[in-house]
Amino acid sequence: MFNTKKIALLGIFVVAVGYFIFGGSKQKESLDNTLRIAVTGQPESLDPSKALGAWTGYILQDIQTGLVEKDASGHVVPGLAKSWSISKDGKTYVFKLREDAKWSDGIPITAEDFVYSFKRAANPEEAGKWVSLYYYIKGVKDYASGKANADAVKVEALDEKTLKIELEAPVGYFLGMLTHYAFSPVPKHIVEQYGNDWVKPGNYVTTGAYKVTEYKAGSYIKAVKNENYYDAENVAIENVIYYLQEDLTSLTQRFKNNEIDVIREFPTEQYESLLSQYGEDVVRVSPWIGVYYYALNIEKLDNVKVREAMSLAIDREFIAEKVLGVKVFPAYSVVPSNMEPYKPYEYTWKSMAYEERLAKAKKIMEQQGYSENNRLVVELAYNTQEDNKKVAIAVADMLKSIYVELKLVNREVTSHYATLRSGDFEVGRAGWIADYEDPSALMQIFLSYTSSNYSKYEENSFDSMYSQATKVTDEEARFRIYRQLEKKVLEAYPIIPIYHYSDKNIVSDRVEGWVDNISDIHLTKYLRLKK
Amino acid sequence: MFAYIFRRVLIIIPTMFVIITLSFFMMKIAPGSPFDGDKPLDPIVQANILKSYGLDKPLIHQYKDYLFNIAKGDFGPSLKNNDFTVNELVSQGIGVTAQIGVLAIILAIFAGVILGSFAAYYQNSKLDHAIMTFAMVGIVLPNYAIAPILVIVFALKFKFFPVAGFYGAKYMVLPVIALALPKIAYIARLMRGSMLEVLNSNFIRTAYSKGLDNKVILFKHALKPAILPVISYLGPASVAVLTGSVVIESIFDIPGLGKFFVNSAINRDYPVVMSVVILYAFLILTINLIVDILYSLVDPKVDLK
Repeated sequence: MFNTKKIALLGIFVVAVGYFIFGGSKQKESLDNTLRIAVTGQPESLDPSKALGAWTGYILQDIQTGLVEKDASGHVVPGLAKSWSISKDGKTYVFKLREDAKWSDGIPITAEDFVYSFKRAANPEEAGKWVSLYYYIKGVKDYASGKANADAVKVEALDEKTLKIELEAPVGYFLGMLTHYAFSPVPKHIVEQYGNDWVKPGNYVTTGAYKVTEYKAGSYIKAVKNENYYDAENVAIENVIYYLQEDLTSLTQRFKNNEIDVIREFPTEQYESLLSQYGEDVVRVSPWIGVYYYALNIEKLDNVKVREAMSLAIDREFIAEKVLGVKVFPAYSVVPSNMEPYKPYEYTWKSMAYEERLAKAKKIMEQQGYSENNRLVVELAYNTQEDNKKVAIAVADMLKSIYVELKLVNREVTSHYATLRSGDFEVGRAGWIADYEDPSALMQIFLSYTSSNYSKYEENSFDSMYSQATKVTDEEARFRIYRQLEKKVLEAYPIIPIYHYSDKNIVSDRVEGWVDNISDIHLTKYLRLKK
Repeated sequence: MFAYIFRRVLIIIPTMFVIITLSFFMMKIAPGSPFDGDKPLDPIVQANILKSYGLDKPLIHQYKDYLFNIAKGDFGPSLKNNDFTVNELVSQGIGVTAQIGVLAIILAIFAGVILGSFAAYYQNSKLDHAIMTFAMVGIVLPNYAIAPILVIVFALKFKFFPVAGFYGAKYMVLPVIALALPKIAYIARLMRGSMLEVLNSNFIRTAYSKGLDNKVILFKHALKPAILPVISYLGPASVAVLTGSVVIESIFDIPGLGKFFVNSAINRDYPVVMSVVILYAFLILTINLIVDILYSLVDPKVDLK
């Protein structure tokens, strides 16, 4: 029965199986001073000008840094620049770079590197994704749209360590914007040598506290401390692994199994059970800078009274407390109240009791000719997701009593936003997280010319006041204008703000130094691991 | 036989062409573009990006360019994973998916054949009923239900294996089992049926009458004819494992073809979706061809002409 042929076959078989099992990627896990973060998405790119997505930011903020940075609680502090001066008219910034600022390969970072990087980010052929953040710099818009060449961009190296940036107009929050990873410099000496491959581990050179050692697409990125980082001596954690996984339920299970230390989001429906198991120091919920809203398509729902009634009839407290079950903040304004010192304009009817509001809404609808027999049928589009569904069902129920019949339509996320942009909807769920901490980052969605203005709210006076406001250097005066703008837009009812977001992180008690902040920025360099 | 194989290989070419063309245009019809996120891009930025990928050209132009490029073996850049080309992603993905898939198929064949044979041999015994109940459950439960159950029991409760990820041998155990279970169940049922038939046939009765050992009869004489239906099932099974890996890889966070496929479909990462579709189609066509050839080798009654 056992002839040589069979034994040979068996041998081949065993080797084949062995290869398949053990030929795979192997990883001896040593948890020594290693932080494991799940970033809940695939980074678009490690090139700062080409990356998009909050999850990409979690990685890039650790490995790349710019002229200025954010501290553990989210305040602007010096980064690669040690100091700066701003001209009286607020249009010219001069930055002095640190003498010891180096790329991770040890080569000094010069002002010329910044000039190269900023022009590269605006170069239409490079097709950078964050060019719109650069528009405030003089000449960028013309360069990016092909109307001028790179020389038009007013970024200049005065000497090896001095950088001058000229703005189109004074921008009060410019320093805050510069903390965005899109303004991190890229190494000219590496980019020119390797082209698009400069981001591959091995070629990739960084400016931040960490540098990348390994990148497996769809799986993980590994980084180690960058010894050439100017503040390396204060960086406590040696190794970081970023897990690139989307499935929040699976991630939560991995956390429970001690495979992960930090998750940058968790499933809302598990909030209660996670909280009771781990407590508030681990399951962290804190106010963020974004708004969850329903866009009302003004072209289809052209009666402002009806739009007002719909907004009145929505019980935001009920949604925040009962429907979602995780801490969010009922919204009566566009801008959340934590963007201090800005004080958002809120609907005056916020103080009315819900029953009173509902009665008022009903009356408005009756005046507009609606009744039990003549109901308004409206389609509500949302992107497929559990929380969106819950809110939609609750809202549909609330609107029933004011003679509005909501028909729910869900689509997967890409189709959903494409639908919103095409204008082929009546009511559409949307959300907006500010890119930087200023009311303007939220108010911009109502500009008539932006593609995020799903409602097709068009108001010339809004556009002109908005662009005037960006030129006002005095913060108080600027905020006064934004408040007027907010009032103007809220009273036109192009949107129904429902709640202001909170960020949701799970942070193992192994990790120390985590400070909740409104930008949800948590750099690994500020963290420590318990021994 | 070689004429037959040659003919079959030739048929693959027009089939692939039709698949490529259909999926190219279907994907373009799907609403949304790779750059439609929850935050719309500035129009200037969007125009520059579309231009850099040639997506501003007329559709028929894009189609032509695409055909030329893939003929050269260049599947383009990934639109959402900018740091990798499609070729890099797919070659990484196929290796990973193959590791999981081949192991699952091997496990399914071994476990399925053994369980099915025993069930047939001990027909109507408690063992038989137990195996068939298991098989019924295995067929009814889909992958995405089995996987979380396995995780809860073997990862979270007993801590034998990690929950998810793909960093070494122990990370493969649960996904392979989850992928193989429905196939084990199916093969066991197939095997039991055909084994019963064979065990009642004349030549087996002759073997018994000659006083051969039971094990020898079962695994030497009865197995070969009884395994034929299992072999013909290998084609569909391999295909099912390939498609099943789409679900399993997402649940266990395995960076294989399936995960790339799902992510890129959601994100409209056209070049990645296309190349995975092309690869899946090609694999499925090839697997079917191999199974047909294998069938003729095992069963002399099948004549490939």
